[in-house]
Amino acid sequence: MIFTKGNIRPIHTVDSDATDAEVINVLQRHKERFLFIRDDKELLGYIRAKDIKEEGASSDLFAAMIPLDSVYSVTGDQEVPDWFQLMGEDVVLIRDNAGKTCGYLRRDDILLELLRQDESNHVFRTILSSIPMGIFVVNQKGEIIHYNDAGLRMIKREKGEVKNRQAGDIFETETIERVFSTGETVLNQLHVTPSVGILADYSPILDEDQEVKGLIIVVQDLPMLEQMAMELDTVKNLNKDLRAILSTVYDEILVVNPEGELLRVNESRISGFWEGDLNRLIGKNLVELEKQGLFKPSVARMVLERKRKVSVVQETRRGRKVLAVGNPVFDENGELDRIVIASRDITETSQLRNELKEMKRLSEQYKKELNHLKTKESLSRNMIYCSPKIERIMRDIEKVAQYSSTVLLTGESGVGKEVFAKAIHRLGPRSQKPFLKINCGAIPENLLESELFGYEKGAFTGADPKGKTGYFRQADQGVLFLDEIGELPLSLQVKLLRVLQEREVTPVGGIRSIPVDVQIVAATNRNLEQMVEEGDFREDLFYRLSVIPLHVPPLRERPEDVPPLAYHFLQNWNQQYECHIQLAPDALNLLEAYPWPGNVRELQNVIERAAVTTDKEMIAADHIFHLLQWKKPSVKRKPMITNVMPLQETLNEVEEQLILLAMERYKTTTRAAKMLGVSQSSVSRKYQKILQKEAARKEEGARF
Amino acid sequence: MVIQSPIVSPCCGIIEKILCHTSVFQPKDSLFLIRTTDGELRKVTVDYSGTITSYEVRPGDEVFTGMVLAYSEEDLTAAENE
Repeated sequence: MIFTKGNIRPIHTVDSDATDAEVINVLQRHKERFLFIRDDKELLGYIRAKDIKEEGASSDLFAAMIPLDSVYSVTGDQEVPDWFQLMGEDVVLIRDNAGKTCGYLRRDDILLELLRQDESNHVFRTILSSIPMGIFVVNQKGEIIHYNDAGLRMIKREKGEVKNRQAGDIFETETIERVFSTGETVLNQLHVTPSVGILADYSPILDEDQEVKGLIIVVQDLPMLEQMAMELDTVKNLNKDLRAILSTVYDEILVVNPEGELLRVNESRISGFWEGDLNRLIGKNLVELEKQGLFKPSVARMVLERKRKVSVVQETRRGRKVLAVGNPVFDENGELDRIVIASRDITETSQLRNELKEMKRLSEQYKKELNHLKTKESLSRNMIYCSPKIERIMRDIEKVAQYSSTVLLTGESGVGKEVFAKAIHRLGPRSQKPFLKINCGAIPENLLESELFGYEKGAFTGADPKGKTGYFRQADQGVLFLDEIGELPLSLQVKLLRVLQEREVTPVGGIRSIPVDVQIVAATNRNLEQMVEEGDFREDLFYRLSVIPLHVPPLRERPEDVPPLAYHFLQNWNQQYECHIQLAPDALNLLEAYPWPGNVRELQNVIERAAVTTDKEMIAADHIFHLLQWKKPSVKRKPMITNVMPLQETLNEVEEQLILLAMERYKTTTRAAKMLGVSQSSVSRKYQKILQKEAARKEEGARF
Repeated sequence: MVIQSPIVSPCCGIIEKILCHTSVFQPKDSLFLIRTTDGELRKVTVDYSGTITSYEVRPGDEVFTGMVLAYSEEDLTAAENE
């Protein structure tokens, strides 16, 4: 290239002592970026026009001046083989062959020349590839026409993917359009995707008319940004997972900051605890909410105060109970950073526990009642009756059983006095304690005292060397049944009286009295009152025993109890011997008619005898009849007639009396006929006739 | 059947002693001894039998009303059989 006046820029100068106005005037007149300074006729250096405007004072010209000594210069006809060497210079001076400065070139002039020259491509390619930034040149159509390797690496694309491709496909379309439309440079645009993290500057390429002919996108690789982006992505995924996990957690999770403010919550909610939407409370201070009385105590406050895990049962003003566990979270400096609170509603648990307790209490009560009923039922299996008389006695026994009063059971032998005594034991609070029976008439008189009260060691010859605990002490807290109390010798009556009075016993040979807690049930078939009158029984003991006197009526006075008793004994027999023996209805009628002098015991024996001796499964009346001990007329005396009466009338009268007597005694016409030695039909017919006659007589009497 | 039950402090004070030396306890057993803020000693009991699964406090710890002292498992089956 040969430099001539046509292709180099002229040098415009001012004196080194020029005023501001002169400098500005020159700059405005020539519109140049550089102004040279001379002293006389010698060029000293140059200044940048922008520096002058900024500095604004002539005195500063030298300060802003760049001396020519440091400026690269070439001779006018000199070939410049390596233009790229001049690229970094603002200004290159052109001298003539005489060495006089005749003009200058600006950097852009040099670059234009570089572009013009053939070798420019490799220079620019080298520049592009050597700088550690990505550069993309975009033409007016928005297509990428040049790029460097660093740029490709940063956007993670291959050459084929970029060349002539719309820049908007890779970079931000909006920014590109903005640069094209405004001609502005847009800097520091973050471009982050899961795989790419870059910072891009968008600079327009302007022509002389300031029209945008293209743009250059300078890209900086931001591996940290990329890493951050990826981490952010990971965090996003973690956050997503965490939310999913929290949403499945049963507990209500609260996150609180060190000031006690609620930061976030999960989706679980404790119904009725927060008096509204919990999300509305985000940002509120939980300690303040405690002060307002929403709940107490605040687990957040406790953790803030203690700086450690705290578990607490919180209660709202409406009585809702929550088990809250507060866990502190510390930062790397050991400072409290967060509090995570897990809360669980225990209101229902508490209520259920209380209900369970109530159920258990009821269950216990029912169990007790059931046991009582079972006892009664078990008792009813032994207490067979349906007569009102026994019903009345049983009601008394139920009452008596609840206390420790002494009971005197009277009644004929065999009426079941012992069964009633056991009923008193079973129905009362002493049922789990001993029931001891002693037959006062069966033990020799000289042994009875030691049996009742026990004896000390060596009390008498032949005694057990260890001593003996008497019945009274063995039955302590239980019931002692003294059967046949009427047989108790007078000498022991006084001792028994003392026990009943003092509630303590003194063993034979002992001097120390031992307290006993025993309920006494005495029984006798003898008339104790008569014995008292005759001096055979102590009156004071009689009254001491007869606190609750209960008389058990004989079976003949309660014939309605005979069938159930008979069935009961027969059933026992059948069960014991696996039989199926039954009683015929007329046999049962016969049993009801029998007077049972031996009472229940006799009935039991008769049933057993019948069951043993019968050949059939059905016990007939005949069979029973022969087993019963019917009272035979003691002497068959001949009827004595002392007056002379009409024969037929007398015969009719005697017949009527005989039939009525037989019916009264034997209840049925069959049995009456049998005893009278006539046919049943005859007895039945005559008995009906007698009844009609009596009814007519009564009617007649009523008329008169 | 077993249900989880927290054993809570009935008062404010300091844990003087842990009285339950085995994990199994019976109704009315004294489990903790607390010196209340008034200086009195107060025993903590429960009205059920069960097993302590974890202690949440140690002797010397300050406690307050409602604070969980321990977690227990209430054995309802055992109670039903009693």
